[in-house]
Amino acid sequence: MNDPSPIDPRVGSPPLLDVSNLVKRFQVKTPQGPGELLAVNRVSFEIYPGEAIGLVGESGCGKSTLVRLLTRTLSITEGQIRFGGTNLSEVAPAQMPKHPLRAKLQMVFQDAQDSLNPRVTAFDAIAEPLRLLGSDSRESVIRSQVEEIATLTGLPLELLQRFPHQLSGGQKARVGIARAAVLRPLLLVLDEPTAALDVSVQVVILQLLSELQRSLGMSLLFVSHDLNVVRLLCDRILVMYLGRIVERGNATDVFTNPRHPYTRALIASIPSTGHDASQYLLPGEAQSPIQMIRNPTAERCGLYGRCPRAELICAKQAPPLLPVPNSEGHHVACHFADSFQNF
Amino acid sequence: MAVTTFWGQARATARENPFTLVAAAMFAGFLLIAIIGPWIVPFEPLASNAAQALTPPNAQHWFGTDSLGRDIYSRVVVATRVDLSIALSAVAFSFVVGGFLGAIAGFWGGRIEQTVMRLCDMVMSFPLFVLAMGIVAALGNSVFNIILATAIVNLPFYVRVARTEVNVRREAGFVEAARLSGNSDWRILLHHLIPNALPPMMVQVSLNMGWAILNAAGLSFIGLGVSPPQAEWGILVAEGASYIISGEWWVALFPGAVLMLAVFTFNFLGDGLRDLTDPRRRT
Amino acid sequence: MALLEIRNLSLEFQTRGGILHALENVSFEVQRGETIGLVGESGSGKSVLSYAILGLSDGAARITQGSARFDGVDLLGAPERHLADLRGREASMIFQNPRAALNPIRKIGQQLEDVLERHTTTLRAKRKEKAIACLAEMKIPDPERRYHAYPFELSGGLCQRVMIALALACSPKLLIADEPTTGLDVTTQAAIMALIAEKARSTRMSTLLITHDLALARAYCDRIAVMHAGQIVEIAPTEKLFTQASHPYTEQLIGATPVGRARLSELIAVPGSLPDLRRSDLPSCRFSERCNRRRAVCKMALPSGADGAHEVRCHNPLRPESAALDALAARST
Repeated sequence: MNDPSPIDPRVGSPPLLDVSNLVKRFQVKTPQGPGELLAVNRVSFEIYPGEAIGLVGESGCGKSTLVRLLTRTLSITEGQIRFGGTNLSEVAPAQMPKHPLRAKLQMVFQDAQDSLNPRVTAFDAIAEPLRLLGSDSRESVIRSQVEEIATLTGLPLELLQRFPHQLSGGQKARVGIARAAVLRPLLLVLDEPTAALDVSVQVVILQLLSELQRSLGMSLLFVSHDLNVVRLLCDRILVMYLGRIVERGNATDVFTNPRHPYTRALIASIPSTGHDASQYLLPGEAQSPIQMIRNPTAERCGLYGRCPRAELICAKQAPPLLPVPNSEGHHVACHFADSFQNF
Repeated sequence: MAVTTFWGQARATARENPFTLVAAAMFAGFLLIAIIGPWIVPFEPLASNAAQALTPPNAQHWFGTDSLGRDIYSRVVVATRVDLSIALSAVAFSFVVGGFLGAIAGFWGGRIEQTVMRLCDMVMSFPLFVLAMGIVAALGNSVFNIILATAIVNLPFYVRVARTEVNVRREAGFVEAARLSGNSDWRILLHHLIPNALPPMMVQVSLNMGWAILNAAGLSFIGLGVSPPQAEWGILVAEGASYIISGEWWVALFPGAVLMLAVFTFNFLGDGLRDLTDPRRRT
Repeated sequence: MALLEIRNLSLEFQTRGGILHALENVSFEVQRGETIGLVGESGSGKSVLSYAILGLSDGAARITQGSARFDGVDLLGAPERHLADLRGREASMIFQNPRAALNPIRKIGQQLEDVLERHTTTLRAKRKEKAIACLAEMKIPDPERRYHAYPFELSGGLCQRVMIALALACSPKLLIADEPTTGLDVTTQAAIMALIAEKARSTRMSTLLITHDLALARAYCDRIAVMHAGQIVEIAPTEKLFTQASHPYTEQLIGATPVGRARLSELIAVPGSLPDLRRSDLPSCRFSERCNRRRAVCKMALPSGADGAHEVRCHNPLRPESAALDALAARST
């Protein structure tokens, strides 16, 4: 996946995941009156088979909500999700556990400890999806499948009888990955899977994920704070801000030539990469995603108020994702993207 | 990190807290007496012997005799079965029904939760003992009705504990992971949430046993529920109460002491039970 | 004279499972005005060390040897009331979880004034003004309004700034920052580190930055000390550490850090895992069991030296010349 001349996966094959105009609103009560939390604001993107996509953005940008819309644990307000040709947006969260495609769209959680039932052994945790969603319910078959995925994820077989609190951080992470991968999903969503791990353990887990992706032919959607990790593991990157995708493109392009002011601030802030963060940092904080029912502000650029460029059009119209000239597959949502100097 | 068996774990728990070991031994003792009591007593519990009435403790009658000449020791031993079975049944009923109601209230919230909690409020608005009295008085004097009254009065307690435990864990990562593994809501509740809500409730079970015994004894003391000449600790204390002033202290003291010992046993056992059922405490 | 001088500090905890040897023979110094990074993974003992310096260790902790001196004053033997005077005024600490450090039922302005009252002679009438000034110094927008706010009304990033304002209100000589930006967004992290760096520059404040993020330490520290299993394994000026790392663990830690790599396959993992610090048979070099350069000599006790700019506690270091040369230079000046 880091070859100098990657084969463009888009050529020929249809997308595995096709998200269009996805919207999620939560009704909230504020001291000023009723409002709506616009967590995901018309997001569209595609994931092709075998790709690793990175999803980055600061806390509160809506990436966790987006992820839960994709895995169908949260209901959709508007928009469509097509997975392998099936329209998943019509499937309610309550029906999803029994849907035939449940096994093919799986997730690895941020906090491996929290995501494992403390009363269930590693073996049973990994076996559960097989028992509920697998085609063969014979114990002998299940046992061999669990052992196979355990070996693939580097989990020694004797650890399978242990409970979560008897496992180290890295071992718990492997159990979480094994459980998600045991049914050979087509798309694996990972929500900050290495955030709680030491850097030496992180390396092992990342290399494991890369290897698994290759050998099992999965697509990955990797949500992370850590841009360095995203850069190494992912082919393409999506940058989210306040519920919208503000930039997307190949990992190297986004890193070396970010065009959106927020992306530039994000990449300049990474320590020890040689950028002077103070040049790019945006003052203040992200505005609230809560729209007051009477005064909706959904139709303006999310960065208005923090951006060094603040023109009339930025306050009136949310910029669409438009291609960046001379950069294949690179799109940015900014009315003045080409006016910023190169990095 | 060696994985231990249940007995290994039990030994470790006992080593950490010696009271638990003592309490467990005493619980075993009470259980044994409850089962084989009637066969090992030296005297017939109902056999009266006017000539021997109100004799103080001696070699023949270890706890003395009561106003009808019955051996108090035998009566106390036999009463163990009655009290223990009342307490166990009542608590089991409360635990199962209350736990289940609380779990569904905590998991689904909304109207289900409101309904269940308001029913609990209704029960809790009465002084517990008064409510128990009312139930037994209305349904009639019998052991079954004591069990029922004790169980009903105790329900809100389990409902609330179960509701909180399930509510707190409802948002846990492993619940979401269970959904992705194909679990329906019911399966999540029964397989994942309720077993995790169990440890905190186990302590309550044992404490409740002590309370249930006291409740049953209290009802019998005032004449509701178990009726004489059947032996039950509460009745025995009642029978002895009027004789304390006249100096026959043993008639009330021994049944009272055994009652107290039983309640202590269950209280100390509570902590040990919780430690045993919580896999996180296993090293 | 160094501002903070730690010599041969060893600390252990009494636990149910035995004695946990948390720190072994730790020595380092912090000069006035310098920022020194204490880098290590979880279990390395870096937080334990920072608490021990300020006398905030858990009740089960026992210091078995060594000394700690702040501005010439012995910290370990000092009575609690002297330490209480020291904390907040001369030496402050900020923590990873800002919400845990702020009193949730007290307004922010009040909490700032408490610190000012305790440690400074600012008149009551002037305290509100100074408190607002502290908030403004941390670039908290709308400080007059925030003065009256409760912590729950603020975002995580703002809470962190408030905590730093509390720590810096009395312009301490030393700031101990224990994972101050872990869990924060990278843009917030950059802003917060800039604030700390600015304060350090303007008041010649020393900073002890404790972190597991090597890249962060590289960007902000003058010198870095690397810790492993309760031992300091290497101390060097920052760029020297990264270009001429001498201890095998340091080299592997740098190799595992994703910054500056082009490929995932370039990252190397550190083999093995931390030894159980409750063992009574811990080897003198606690990294030796995981080390691929292990030799027979490694069983011998490690040198504990604290001279020279670049020190390594290792019997088989990667670049012995580098460290030795510095020690030689230091002794001849």
